[in-house]
Amino acid sequence: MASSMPTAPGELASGSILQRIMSGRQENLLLCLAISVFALYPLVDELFDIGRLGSMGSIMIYVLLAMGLNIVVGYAGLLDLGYAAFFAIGAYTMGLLTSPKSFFIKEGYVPEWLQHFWPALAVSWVVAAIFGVLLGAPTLRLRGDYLAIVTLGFGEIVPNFFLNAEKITNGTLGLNPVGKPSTFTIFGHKFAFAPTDQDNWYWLILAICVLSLFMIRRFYNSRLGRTWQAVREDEIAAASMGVNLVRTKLWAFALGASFAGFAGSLSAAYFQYVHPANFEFIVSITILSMVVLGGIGNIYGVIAGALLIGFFDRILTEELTPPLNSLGDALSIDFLANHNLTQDKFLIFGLALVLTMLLRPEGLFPSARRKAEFHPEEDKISEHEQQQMYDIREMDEPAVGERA
Amino acid sequence: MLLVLLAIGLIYGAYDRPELFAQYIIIGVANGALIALIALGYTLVYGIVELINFAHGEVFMMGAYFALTVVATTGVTTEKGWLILAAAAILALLGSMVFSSAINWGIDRVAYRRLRHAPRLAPLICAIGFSFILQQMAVYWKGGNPLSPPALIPSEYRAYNILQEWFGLETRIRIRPLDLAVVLITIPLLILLQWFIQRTRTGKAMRATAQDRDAAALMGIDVNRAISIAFIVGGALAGAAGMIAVYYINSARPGMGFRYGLYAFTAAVVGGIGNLNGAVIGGFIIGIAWSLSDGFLKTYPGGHFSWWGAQWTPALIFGLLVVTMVFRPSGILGETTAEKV
Amino acid sequence: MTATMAEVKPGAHVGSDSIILRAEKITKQFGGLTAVNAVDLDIYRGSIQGVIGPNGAGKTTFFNMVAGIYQPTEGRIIFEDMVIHDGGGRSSRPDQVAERGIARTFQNIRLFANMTALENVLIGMHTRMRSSPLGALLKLPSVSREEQQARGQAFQWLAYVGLKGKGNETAKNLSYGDQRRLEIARALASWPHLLLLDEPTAGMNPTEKVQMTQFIDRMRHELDLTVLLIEHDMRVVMGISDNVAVLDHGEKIAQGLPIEVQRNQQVIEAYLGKSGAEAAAQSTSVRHDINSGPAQTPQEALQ
Repeated sequence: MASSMPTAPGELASGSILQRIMSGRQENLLLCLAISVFALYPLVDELFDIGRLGSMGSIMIYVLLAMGLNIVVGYAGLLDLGYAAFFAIGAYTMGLLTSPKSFFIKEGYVPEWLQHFWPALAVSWVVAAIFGVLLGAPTLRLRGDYLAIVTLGFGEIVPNFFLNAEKITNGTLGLNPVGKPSTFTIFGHKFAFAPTDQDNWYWLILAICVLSLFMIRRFYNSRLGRTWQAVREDEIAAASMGVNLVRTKLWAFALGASFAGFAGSLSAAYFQYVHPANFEFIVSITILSMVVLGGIGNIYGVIAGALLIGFFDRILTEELTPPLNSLGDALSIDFLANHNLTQDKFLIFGLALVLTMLLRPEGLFPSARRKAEFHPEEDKISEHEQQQMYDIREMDEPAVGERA
Repeated sequence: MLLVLLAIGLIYGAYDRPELFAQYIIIGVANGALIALIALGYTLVYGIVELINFAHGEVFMMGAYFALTVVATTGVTTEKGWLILAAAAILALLGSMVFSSAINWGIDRVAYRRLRHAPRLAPLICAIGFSFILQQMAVYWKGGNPLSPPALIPSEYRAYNILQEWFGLETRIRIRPLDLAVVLITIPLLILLQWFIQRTRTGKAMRATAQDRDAAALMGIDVNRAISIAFIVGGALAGAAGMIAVYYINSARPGMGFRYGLYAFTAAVVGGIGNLNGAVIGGFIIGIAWSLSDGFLKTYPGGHFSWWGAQWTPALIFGLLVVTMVFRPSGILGETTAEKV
Repeated sequence: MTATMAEVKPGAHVGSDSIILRAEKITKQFGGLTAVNAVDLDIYRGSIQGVIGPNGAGKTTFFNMVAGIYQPTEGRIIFEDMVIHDGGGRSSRPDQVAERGIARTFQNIRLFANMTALENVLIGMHTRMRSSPLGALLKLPSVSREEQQARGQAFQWLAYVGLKGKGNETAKNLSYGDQRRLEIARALASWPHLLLLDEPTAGMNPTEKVQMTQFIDRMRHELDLTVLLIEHDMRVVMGISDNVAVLDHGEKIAQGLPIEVQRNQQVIEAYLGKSGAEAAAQSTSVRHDINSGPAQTPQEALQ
């Protein structure tokens, strides 16, 4: 390196690095605080007799899903409208590996050690990631909106397959029961997972959420996370700097899918039931609206969005329906008297998407970066560039080996 | 691979059971005409603003509901004369066309127009939102259960076979008046659309806008107006399709727009999105594929496809979508456009 | 050394190790339009190769073919004895080209606008980093170490191009000149052997242009670089290039020392049209030294 290059980066970097560590510390502190609050919820629920622990469990599964989708949509900027497919794949992996109704178990294809919750959870994480790659590989060279529709197609095909491949998946009857964690003891507290042990289930789901959060954070703050941002901002420039677009996006797809695999297998065990109707398009859209509303790209915003929409969907609508109906009775307005707010899902998610895009496209809790991105100048990439950059024919074996 | 196998199976099937095959083709053509009408709306809008108007399927669904409402309001019954029934049908057709185009125009005006310069995904997400809002509106309006439209065709004509009655052909192939009506309504609309786009001033303005919005604006074309008209025309076609569909499948439900919408979108993509003729060709391809997959495949001799049935149709059509997108994203008639860096 | 290289006539036999990049009859067609037609170009290691030509001459297309954004329709490009593109459809992707040691800047700046200057440079280092996502997940010490080192180096690169202390600014908030510098820093961070600069002084004022020109020259010597420079501004090209190729209508119409090219009748015609060229021929004062007062383009010579 040339002599004119400064060799000691210390003085240049010190200010910013100090700042980074400080803000990093603060972030971790707040995070620990928030996690403790959520961890204490079962006690609060019991103390005040709220009786919403079951809903909180499913909301936490939403959080997990939203964090996973955020990798694809938020970090890598790929609109995935079929995310429920990976959720389904996770759930069916768990079901097929552990349920006595499973074709594979009945045929004796699954080794005994794999027929338990924990190994199946790990396997479903991997299987979902593999499907992320399989479904992603052919589609990633497509432009944003095309990709969205193709993923939507996959999102329809996968549950359709699970529904119709009755021999393997038990079709509309679903798989039940599903394996669950065996009882274990930590610090003298016995963790059992019967359907009545809602608090233990909640803690289990929360623990997996926290684990996933830390995993995702590490990925995001790595070299990979940086290339996601670069690819999202300018594919051509990123590729010209040596970033392999296909590989970068495949990582996003695989990792995003893998967390849906977690969520799927968890929910299968939690509800002790796997059924194709639980993975319809509306599920993908629910998760998407969580990500969009919370703030695309900011993991905390996305978690907040998931909690908000989950709370709305699972708790508020149920709680508000009786008072609304009595109000309707009192005012003798038939519509209000008979209306069930839990049926308004479509409207709520639809409005969440439309209003967020119109009024605050960066979401309620945006990442600083995404906020800026929502006011850019148009960037047209020509077909030629597209073709060339996504030329995956020789992904593993570049055409450069030939000696001149 | 699977698609190739299916194609071989079908060709053999056509040779083996020609009458049954022809029957499914006829159903497929009627279905295809319907899908083509919806697909045109996708392609018109995509051609001009490069937006996949995800709510388009729901615009079609609303048209179906409106048609049903109009006929119910007129209170006609099949005992009335031909003329009155026809008038009610035309009224419903025009009504649903106006209604659907108003919705489509309104959505553009309220939402998409403000997002013209936003990142591409913003209007798409918005469109998905509208698709759900419209579905919910339909539930509020008519309830969530499927509804049957008031009859417009006297019952003795429902199973009437035109080939036998009019032409005296001794055949098991059946063309019902309804099948004929679908095609008879669709074809003039398609011709009208072609004339509108190719010959009128407005159509030319729309084409110019689709080519290059900025240049069109510089030439004094009111770009927003041209875009609005694309939404209106697309909406009108969807409304017409809604009216036809509600009678052809004899029911309407809030979720119908989603399936039909996606099939139509697939048709638009298969034909080459942005290309009007492509949308029509794609519509017929999808319509025929749909009908064959629903019924014909399982009759395939030897029983190799006996497990195949209507439940696999969505997988087949989405498979077609994925394959087209991946291997020929420009579709059958689309062309790749070259731009410089 | 550079001087001797520039004097080597095209077609003369040269040891292959002194040629870093060789383009053989490369052609690019868009539909029916031939943007670049059978262009040959050898670039010598350590030299600054200028490419000039009027608008639409195919300069940027040529450039994009080298960088892997376009596939040549015909011909091949050899970089450091390796075929990186050939007309038979076997062609490296941009990221593979970058990995081989070719880095580039863009005519209309393409920074990662919403990332900080530091992060932009870190992306430039991408190809020289080895940490895997799995390592990042486990937070292996080697990964943290590499990240620290990369940051340190990135700050050095920023300082090198004159962006000391601006590492944490968002790229789009930098001034125009600084954005150009940042693009160069980002490209340098990949330790390229060949640096492609696409109109690095476009949109700059004369003082900035002189600074940039000097900087390019300095960079070349200090970092052992070879530079392929596309420029509109004749002063810049003529001032620092060892050799200049002239493209017009997609064809190479001349190549040689800057001074030769400047006097080439065909070149003057290409720039000015025939009548202009005749007028220019009467003028004798064509100079090319940027440091001693205003060098002249043929246009200026005409006045």
